[in-house]
Amino acid sequence: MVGLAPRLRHLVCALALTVAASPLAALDIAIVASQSKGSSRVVADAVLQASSKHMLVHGGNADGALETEHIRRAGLVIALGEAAALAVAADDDAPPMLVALVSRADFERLRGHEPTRPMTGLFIDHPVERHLRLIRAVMPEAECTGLVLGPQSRSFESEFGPAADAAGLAIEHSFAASAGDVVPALERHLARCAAALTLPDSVVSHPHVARAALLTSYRMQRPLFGYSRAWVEAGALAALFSTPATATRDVLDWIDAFEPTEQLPEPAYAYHFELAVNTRVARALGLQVPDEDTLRAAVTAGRQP
Amino acid sequence: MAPMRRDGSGIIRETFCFRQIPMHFPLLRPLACTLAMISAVPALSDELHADPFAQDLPVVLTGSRLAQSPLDAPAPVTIIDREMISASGFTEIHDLMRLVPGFLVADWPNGSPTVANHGLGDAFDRRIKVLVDGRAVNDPLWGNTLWQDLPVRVDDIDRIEVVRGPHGAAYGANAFQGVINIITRHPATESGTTVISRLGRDGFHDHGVRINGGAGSAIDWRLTASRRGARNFESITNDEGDVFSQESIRRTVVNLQASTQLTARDELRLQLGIVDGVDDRGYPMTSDEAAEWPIRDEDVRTHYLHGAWTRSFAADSELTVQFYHQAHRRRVAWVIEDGGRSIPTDLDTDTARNEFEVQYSGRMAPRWHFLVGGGVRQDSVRSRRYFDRGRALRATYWQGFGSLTWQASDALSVNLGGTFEDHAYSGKLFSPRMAINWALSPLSALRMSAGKSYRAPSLMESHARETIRYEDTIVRRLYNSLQKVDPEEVVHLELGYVARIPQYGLSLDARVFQDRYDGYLDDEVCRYRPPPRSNCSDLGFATPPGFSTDPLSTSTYYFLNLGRATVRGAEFTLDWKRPGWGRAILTQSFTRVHAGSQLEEENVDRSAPRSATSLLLIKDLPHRWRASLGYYHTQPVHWLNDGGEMGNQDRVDLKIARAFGPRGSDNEVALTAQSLGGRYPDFDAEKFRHEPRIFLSVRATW
Repeated sequence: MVGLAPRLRHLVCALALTVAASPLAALDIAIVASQSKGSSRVVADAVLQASSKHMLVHGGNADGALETEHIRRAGLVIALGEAAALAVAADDDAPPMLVALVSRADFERLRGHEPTRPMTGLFIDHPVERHLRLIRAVMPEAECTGLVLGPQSRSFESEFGPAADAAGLAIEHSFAASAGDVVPALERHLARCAAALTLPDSVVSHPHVARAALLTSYRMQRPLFGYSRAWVEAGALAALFSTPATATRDVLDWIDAFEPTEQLPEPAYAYHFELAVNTRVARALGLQVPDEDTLRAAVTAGRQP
Repeated sequence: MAPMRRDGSGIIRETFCFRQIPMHFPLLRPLACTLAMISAVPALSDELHADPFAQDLPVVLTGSRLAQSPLDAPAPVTIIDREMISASGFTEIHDLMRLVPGFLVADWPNGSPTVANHGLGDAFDRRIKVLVDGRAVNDPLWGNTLWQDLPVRVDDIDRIEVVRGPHGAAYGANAFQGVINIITRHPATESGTTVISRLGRDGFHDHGVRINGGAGSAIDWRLTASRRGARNFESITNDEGDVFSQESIRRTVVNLQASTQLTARDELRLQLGIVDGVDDRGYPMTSDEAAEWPIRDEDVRTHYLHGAWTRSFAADSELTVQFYHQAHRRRVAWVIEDGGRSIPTDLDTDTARNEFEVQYSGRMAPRWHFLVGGGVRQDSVRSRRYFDRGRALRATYWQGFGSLTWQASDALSVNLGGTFEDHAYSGKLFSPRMAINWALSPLSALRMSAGKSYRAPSLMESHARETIRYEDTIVRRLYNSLQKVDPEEVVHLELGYVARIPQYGLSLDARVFQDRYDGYLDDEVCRYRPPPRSNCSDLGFATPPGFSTDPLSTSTYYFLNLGRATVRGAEFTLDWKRPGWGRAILTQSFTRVHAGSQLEEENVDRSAPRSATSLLLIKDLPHRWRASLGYYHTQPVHWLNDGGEMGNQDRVDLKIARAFGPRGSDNEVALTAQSLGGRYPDFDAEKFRHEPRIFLSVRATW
């Protein structure tokens, strides 16, 4: 398809995907990792070893050799990580793409760069509602949670209303344009709310800012909830997050559910998650945290399978 | 030139350093600007890690940074938090100890304030160890704490953890009756510039500025400066016409704290500070004591430098290496007029301490946690008066310590700990402790602990030769270490119960205890010349060579291990908190001191009140008003040595405050009254009346 305009090429790709994948036909899906080592490779290998109704093929690594022919022959490519997505997107003849192991913010930036390419996402992030349900389960008496947003996490703002209604926990949020704005904003929120939540963001989640935020939350004797195991190890009270294992399950579930149609499914949040609780922080704050099964049940309550 | 900072976008912009520093502290400007430039060093990890599952975050809330839950602690611990500090209205750190059950606080015009726990208190509170961020601040000379010279203000404190009993196993010799661990606010938890001003009657003032920088950048730092002054005691005259001493103080304190996260695992922290001031104290000319102790200015200066590096391996595993140097200087000289002689004297003193310490904690199995460490400390004191020599007296102490906690089951944990110390004077001392915590439920626990602790004699008790000379003769020898003395010992046993009832916002901490002291060390008097009773020569102490034929006094005070005493008691703290209403903290202690026969005459058995109560009531009011009331009651007590008898005491403090500005900030205007009942007896009801205090305060951050 060399020589065709990009928009036309992508339309042809989408049609090919529809035609080649009749309901009874297996689709070739190329799996591309960002690195030859690390979590994206771990997920890629686990996916490739799993049984699927589709034919899963090795698509290479973004930091090494890409299996360009495999990718071009496939009806769909799954790019694991931002680097893999960028490498695949550089090939105009690549098929439609599922980008996994990326944050929602990273995916939206990618899509901004490639507005015409058929692409969907499976984020490592979890919806705000899920985080709120976790806070509610740990601190049933909490009426609101504070949240300081940065330039990237601001995109979550549209979810707050429905998420707060669904979880029964109000969100009091503000925007920090720079690192120096985070602690004063956090202090204001923690003066009113029993807890605060952090979301992925290059400003708010910067290690130096995270340190100040954790120290501030402890000084005010109000816990902070994170979005990764690293946050919990650093001093957040609890977090739900994706791991390579849960991300693998998410990708395989997505593949199993995928029936080629005229359009790729809408981007989606991660479904599976792990929980972590910092019992030392809970003890120091005088909080009694329910066991993991209780928390998990509370977080997944009302969720569609 | 104003320093420039490079932000994340690569745009260079001007920082605040000049325009935000108040005019009152012009000397701070160059320092603050330099810090602003240093903190503008680019962050080590400016981008989030490329691997979305491997974000590098430092382990911030480590075991050493978190306050240990009273449910798990192997010793009775009271935590004085910022809310209590603010609501109490106290502006001096020693006053905060009134909120701790069993603790007694007194001030007197002839020296530093003093704090005691369960009796045995006198003018030199050498039986309680005081730490500021892990730095032992007890004075090397007497072993006491010079509270007003501490380079830390109440506004700097994040919390105070008070161990309400002996804990030599964890803190070494001299953690004899308790440990006061003052933890200052981390500079990363403040931002902007804060001005604090307190102004009251009789010249009371306390003004300060806090400049914070580096939020979210590579170096967090805080520069603080304050200046305060107060008249603590007016001279009083008793019914017999005796006139007693007076005191007023002035202090300037400057502090710098900086902290940087070198890597996700490594934190470097540096603190330095200086205190400069004057005590104006002594007896008015109408007093019989004025000749020897006239009203005089005592210039004091303290400085310190403290560096610490911490490598965190996990939340409960870290290595800390710290070094500090601190020094204190006092300059005071006067002339004693005696029968036509003008005898020059002084109390000039230079003390210094250097300490290096390494500590490592970790988990060797899921249910086994350990802590080991060691260190060396050198103290030096130079005082011609106290030691009758020009050279400094030096002492070196080595110590190794460790503790092992075994979580035998979900409910039962056993803690074994001990400190071995090679003390320059007392030799080898080992302080062991065992504690068993039995969790009755996730939120309640029983604790039983027992152990042995020591208090090694201070340099004053072991080496004093306090001498006043006139020309070539000794005209007075006061404190005099005439014989070898042993360390004091205490064998302690306690049973505690701790519970939290979150649905009622209630916490309870109660215990019964017994502390059996041996070798109580005190001073006794003898005379080099007749009268025949208490004659030093009868005790085998020869008159010093060069002793004047016309001395100021023939009496001398020597130190002696006098005997035994047993302290038994019970105490509790009830902390009730209801969001939107407020908080009430009630403490109560019941104490009985049973002095051995040798100590009965020393009033030791009356050195603790049979009952003492404190109540701090904090009431949230509409429109961001808040009222707090502190009530402190002690039954009769006798402060030993320079102190005296005190009857029933009731003190009531009141603070009315209104917050303003952004919620979460500490901005407030307040009116505080300390001792609504007016002047109150302190340390010796016959001699001293502490001035009450009423002041307006403003605190604003921008």
